[in-house]
Amino acid sequence: MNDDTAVVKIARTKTPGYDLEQMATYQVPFSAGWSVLDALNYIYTNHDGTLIHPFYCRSGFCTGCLVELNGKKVLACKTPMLKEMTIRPAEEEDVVRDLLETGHDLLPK
Amino acid sequence: MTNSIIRQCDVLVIGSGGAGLMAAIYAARQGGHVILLEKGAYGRSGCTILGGYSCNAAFGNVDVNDNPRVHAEDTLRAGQYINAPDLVEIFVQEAPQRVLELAEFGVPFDRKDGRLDQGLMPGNSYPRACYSDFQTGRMMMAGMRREVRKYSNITIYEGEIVTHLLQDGNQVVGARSVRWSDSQPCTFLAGAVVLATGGSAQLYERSTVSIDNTGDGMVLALEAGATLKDLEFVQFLPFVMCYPHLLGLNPGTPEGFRFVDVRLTNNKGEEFAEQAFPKWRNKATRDVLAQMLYQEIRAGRASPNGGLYLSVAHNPEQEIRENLSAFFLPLLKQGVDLRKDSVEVAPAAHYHMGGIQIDTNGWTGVPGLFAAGEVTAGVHGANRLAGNALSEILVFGARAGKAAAEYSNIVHAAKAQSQQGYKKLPEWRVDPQGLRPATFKTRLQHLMWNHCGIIRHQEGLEQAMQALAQLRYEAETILAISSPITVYNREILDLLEAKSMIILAQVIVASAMVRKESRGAHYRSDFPDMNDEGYKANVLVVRQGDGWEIELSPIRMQSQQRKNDNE
Repeated sequence: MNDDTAVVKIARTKTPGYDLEQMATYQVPFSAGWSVLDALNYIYTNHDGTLIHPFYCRSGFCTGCLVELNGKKVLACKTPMLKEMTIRPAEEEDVVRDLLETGHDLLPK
Repeated sequence: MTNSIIRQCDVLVIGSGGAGLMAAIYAARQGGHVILLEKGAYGRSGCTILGGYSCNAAFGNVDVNDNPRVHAEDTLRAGQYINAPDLVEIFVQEAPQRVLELAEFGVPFDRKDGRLDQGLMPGNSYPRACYSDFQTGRMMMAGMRREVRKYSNITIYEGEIVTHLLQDGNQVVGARSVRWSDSQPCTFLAGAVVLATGGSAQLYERSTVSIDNTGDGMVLALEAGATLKDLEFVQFLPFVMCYPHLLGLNPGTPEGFRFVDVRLTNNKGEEFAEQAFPKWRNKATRDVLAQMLYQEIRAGRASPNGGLYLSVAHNPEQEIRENLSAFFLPLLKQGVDLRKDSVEVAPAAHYHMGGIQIDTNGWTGVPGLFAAGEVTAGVHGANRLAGNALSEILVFGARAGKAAAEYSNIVHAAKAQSQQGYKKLPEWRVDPQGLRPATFKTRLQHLMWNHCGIIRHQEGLEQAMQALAQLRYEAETILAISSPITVYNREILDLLEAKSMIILAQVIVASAMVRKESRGAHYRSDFPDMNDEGYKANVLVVRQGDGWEIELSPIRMQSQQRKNDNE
């Protein structure tokens, strides 16, 4: 693996009418200043338009980008990207597609 | 695709930020059925949650000299006197009541001696910004969502991407949408519609706003026959973080560094602002600062990351810790030590002053169509006074919701099949080799940033017009999604947004060409001065066939008209 490349594995869901790998692997340029969200957006923009990962405010307010990164729940926008990342939805049972879920609500009540 | 999903209601509110929630609450209080549509996720989408600090209301709690009159004067001065005076009047009068109402919803505004505390924001004569910690917008949204839950007559649908409004003649009677979860078209029939879809800063390469801020409502309104006003006025914040990349902090964070003395240098270590504008710290407005930074960057004196260096390290440590308490520790956690490190900043699009023309009840002039919040124009004129956005959405969200409900009581429920546009389906092509929506958006944002951003001139605007015409052609020919997935396909959302953004971009550029002067946030390097003789006026855009017509409407003639109407 190249020094400035990160390997990102993402858990995908079965999608009607379309054949997706269950665990897809992507290579992304590594940048110390980038967040996990930046890496996901890079994949969507440059590699794979079928990837669904939710995010709205990009600033840690909406909590929409909650994922499980290497076994730990994190907000993708608040977490620096790593050289090796395995990304899964935060709550498997609430998944509607890829990393998009319904259900959890971390906003102030 | 089928036309099977049809829902009926009295008031349809599109957009679930602060203006949309207030509209839904006030419409629901009239007793009818309210449907609230959100294209993203309820409670997460929209920009209100990003409102960090100030919600203006002239209580005079901290300085007794403040009152609605002074608030109106400050708002008009910031707006360079092309604001709609009637909207400003209503806004300053009702902002205190609406803020108190939000406190009743349980929003924990900070208090001093039992009364709401108020902070001083730039451009304001007195401290009048109510706040809740450093997450005022988020707390306000939480309060409004609690209130929404009390009304069983409000139904919320998420992931509904509205593609056009339904009309019976010119009367708006509902909307058509694509349901993101399965790409099915849905029809919502309503006695009245309120657009609360927010601003459009996503049209620019660099912005502080949430991903959904793509100006959809302005295009929906334009196509339905409403008037768009003063679209050339886009507010750019000067000090937006560009490096290090902030993780989970508002990119506008460095704006707050002005609570202590700041040093601003270019890549040669020169304090360039000092030379151009010696008193810039206290005197320069946001638009002037944004222009200074932009010029410095264009002149090739930016950091390798494209920004300028902002430092507070020369201040005593205690002042940094106390006055910047909201940023010091969060930044330290990310490896930025304000006691010794500088950060790199560059301007970014933040707010759209222009939008749909409305009256004091949020009525657009098209029967059945109302609007509130950032999607509208008038309160802010040529530039927005800091702190006015969060209270504007409360005042006009409430007014538009109430007026829409009253209107829906007097019209009959429409029948789906008879409406214009009912059979019209949104279209997208599937082509793995096509022009991808994400690429299209990036190109559009780049164009707008370079030619219709912080500094504009005729030649650049003409270039932009040509390039946008080409892009619009591509939108109609090669723009395509790369897979046939119909379940939660982000490319469908991006494509529908892109098709709307290209229209709005063209109208913004056309408006910027008409205003051959510099005023507020609109700076023309070929016409650097304000010209009250020719341009103390609003730029109005109305649809005309497949195109549009632009007109300059002088303020003095509008006030003459009002006078005549009153006689």
